[in-house]
Amino acid sequence: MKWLKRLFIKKNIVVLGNEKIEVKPIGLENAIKFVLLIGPYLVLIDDFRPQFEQALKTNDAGLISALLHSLVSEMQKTPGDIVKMVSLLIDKPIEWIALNVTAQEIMDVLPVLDKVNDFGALLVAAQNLGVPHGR
Amino acid sequence: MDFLKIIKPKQDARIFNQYILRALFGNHLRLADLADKINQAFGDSDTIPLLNAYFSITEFDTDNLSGFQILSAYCQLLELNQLQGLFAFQKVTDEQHELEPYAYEGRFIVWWVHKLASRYGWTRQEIFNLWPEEAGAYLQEILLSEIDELEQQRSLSELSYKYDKHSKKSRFIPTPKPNWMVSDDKPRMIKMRRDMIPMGEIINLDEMAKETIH
Repeated sequence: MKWLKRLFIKKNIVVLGNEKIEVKPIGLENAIKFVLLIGPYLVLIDDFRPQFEQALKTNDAGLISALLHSLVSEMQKTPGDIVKMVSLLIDKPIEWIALNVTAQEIMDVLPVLDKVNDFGALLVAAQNLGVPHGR
Repeated sequence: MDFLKIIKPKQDARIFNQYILRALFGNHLRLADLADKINQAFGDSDTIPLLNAYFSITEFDTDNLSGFQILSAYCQLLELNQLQGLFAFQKVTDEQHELEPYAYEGRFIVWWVHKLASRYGWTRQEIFNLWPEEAGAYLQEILLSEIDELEQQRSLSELSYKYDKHSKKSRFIPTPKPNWMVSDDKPRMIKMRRDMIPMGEIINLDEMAKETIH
């Protein structure tokens, strides 16, 4: 079974709601929607900087994992946004995620999303395009 | 702004392993217009064709890049192609006024070409191949020369002199200049009739307030 696991890791396949999904880099259309969605949360990042830096250090987390982990208290108020973000990142309908995927599965899949997508580029883009200036 | 920096021959940036040249004046105008449209349409269905048009003008290849990288590249291209500064005549905020009956979209580009071409005899292509700030620098000089020439012409006419009864001499009235040509460092003297000047001791409330603060 090790060879199967290795193949899964190589092809960036994740299991969500008992379904194997190959995670591909986000397309331009979804990236624009994602930037608009995450923009208001990135404005809050200064308030959550200690949690963000801690999340980056611990578990060798990637950027998006650290970002979502540090903003989790804020995002719990709007769980719909997290579902929408994951839907854009894995290119699956929101309804399917809402019905089939658990919160733990979403958290588990974040490192793979980090590996596939260039979230450093996302931060550059969001600072210039998606984040409203000032607060 | 430093003119020598403005006309530096090699102005480029490395974006995702691609060397991209900074746009010259002609393309700079097109890119600025597109960036404005993208800004207004961001998130709508029009965004992607507009972004593609932007990348096409800058000759940036988006193949093999993820969506985030494309957006990041767009931001870096915006930074590369932004103006290094504004000249005095560009800082003037034009008040909203009704469009002239002869106005049309993009007329300001024609105005730039007309001013530079009529003064220097350059072709449109030559003008579009200037650096954007370089074109601005020349245009500012043209506008200053125009005012100087106008003043010289006016000085030859009697209409620009006003007779002063007291000194029994004519006094030259300078040509009114646009605000950006006039330094606003000097406080403007306001002449006031003697009988309108306040009488007695002048109490400066601001200074009194300062004195009372401990």
